[in-house]
Amino acid sequence: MIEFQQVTKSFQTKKQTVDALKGIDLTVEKGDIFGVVGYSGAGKSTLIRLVNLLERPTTGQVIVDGQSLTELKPKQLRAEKKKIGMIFQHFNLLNSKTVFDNVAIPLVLSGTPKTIIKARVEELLEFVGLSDKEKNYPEQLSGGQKQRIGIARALATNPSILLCDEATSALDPQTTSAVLQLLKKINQQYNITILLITHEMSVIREICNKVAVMEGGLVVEQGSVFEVFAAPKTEIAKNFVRTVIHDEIPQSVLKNVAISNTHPIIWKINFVGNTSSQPLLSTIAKKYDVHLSVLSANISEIQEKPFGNLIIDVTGDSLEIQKALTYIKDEGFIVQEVDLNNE
Amino acid sequence: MSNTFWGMEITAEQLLIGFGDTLYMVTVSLLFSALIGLPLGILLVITRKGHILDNTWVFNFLNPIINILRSVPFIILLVAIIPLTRIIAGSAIGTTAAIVPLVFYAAPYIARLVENSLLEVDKGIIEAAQSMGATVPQIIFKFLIPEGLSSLILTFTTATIGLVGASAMAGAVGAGGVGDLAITYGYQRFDTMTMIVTVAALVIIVQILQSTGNMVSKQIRRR
Repeated sequence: MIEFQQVTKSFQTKKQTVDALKGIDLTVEKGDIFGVVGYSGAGKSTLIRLVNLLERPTTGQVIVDGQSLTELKPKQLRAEKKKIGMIFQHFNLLNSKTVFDNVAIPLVLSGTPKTIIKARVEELLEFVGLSDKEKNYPEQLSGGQKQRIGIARALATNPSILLCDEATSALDPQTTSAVLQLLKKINQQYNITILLITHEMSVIREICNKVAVMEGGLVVEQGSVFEVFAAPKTEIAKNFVRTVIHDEIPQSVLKNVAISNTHPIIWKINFVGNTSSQPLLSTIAKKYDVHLSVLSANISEIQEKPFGNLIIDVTGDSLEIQKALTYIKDEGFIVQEVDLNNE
Repeated sequence: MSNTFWGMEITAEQLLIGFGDTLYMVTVSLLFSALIGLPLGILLVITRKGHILDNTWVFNFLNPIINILRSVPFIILLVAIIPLTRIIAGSAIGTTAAIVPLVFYAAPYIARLVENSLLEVDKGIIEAAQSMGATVPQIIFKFLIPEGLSSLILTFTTATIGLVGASAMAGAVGAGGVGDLAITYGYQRFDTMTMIVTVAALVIIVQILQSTGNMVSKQIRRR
């Protein structure tokens, strides 16, 4: 478990003070895969570095598994850091050492006997699927393989927490997916809490159960991934969600609607979980005297639950339309009326 | 003029002794300069702002001293520190005495080169080391130096070659060596053949040093 309590962080440069974090309150529960998303400069990099004190908070507390790290003596802190693994965007492997030695290094640092190291490293390489590369040097590996080695190294000391600093940002989409699946496996198999930062909402969608959106050194929105994807509140969260869930009406379609009707009625309906399997449109068309035309529709999966959205243009008698709207709401769908002038 | 060859004024024996002296001066002064320069170079890196032993005082103390020593031309350094040389080596002239100014010349040079080599090491590696809870000595010996080793080899190659050059100037305090032969016989006594042979010898020494350094460095970097 990681708790941020009223954490601020300022950097002093010659000319000015930069407030990278302006008061963060955040709790990552045991077993979470917690994603922090934000554009560059939002402070997410600083945030993740506070967890293992690569950066020290200016004010406030960072509590890891009930322990406030800032209060520890250097020796205790080093011991505590062994419970927190970290992987990096650029992998940060030692080019002068073999894959085996790279994975072994955290164990070498803590003076583990050689025979135990050998067994542990072999087990880890097996787990990340790179047993055949143990004598290779990082230079001879692909990006995805390097990150797997990074993961194996981070797991060497049996940590309870894994920090992922833009761990897939330097990888292509397919490799990203494979690495994310590996992280998920680590979370499930070893019950390791994962805190990851990213600028890609697709990463959040693929593996996280909780998400925090950061902007200007603040967490502006947080919640379960499903909540935030289904109903983002802030503008920035909406923008991020839009990068993976397309619920915009295509421009050409909009034009056609505007030509045929000066005041069209357009609804945006979200399908969440079980509601997505209901034959909503045909039910409405049968029950009420309205005409529906679909402007845009898509369905995707978040947290293994279906999530869809549908944008329809409704024409007909205004009373019937009102009845239909009530029906949709009663059935548990989230409906938004779209004002074309604001689109 | 017995035992001379190729029409030189010096004997083969003199040439051999010259080689021996040069080798002695370069080796011993390299050893001491490395012992002083390597830790200083490491200190210059780790006491830098934001590095693992961030210490403005140490950095701001070492940095100008190294600069000052580095800016004195060797031939001046050689005579300027004669009193000090006398205290340390017991004499101000001779091969052993030349080692003192050579160390004063090469140690700050090595410190600066080591600093540059180690600054090339990706900061991400240091960050990874810190995230693993490595101690400062562990970061230096298990991360910084192994990662900078290939570059450090080139650093010491350059320093050794610098010392070969400087040791030739040490002839001015009667240090002996190949360079001394070139000046006393080749230049001052217009013995062209000696000049050619000694210069050729120096060129060969430097070539061998540089190729060996390159080869070893490449061998390490290849991995």
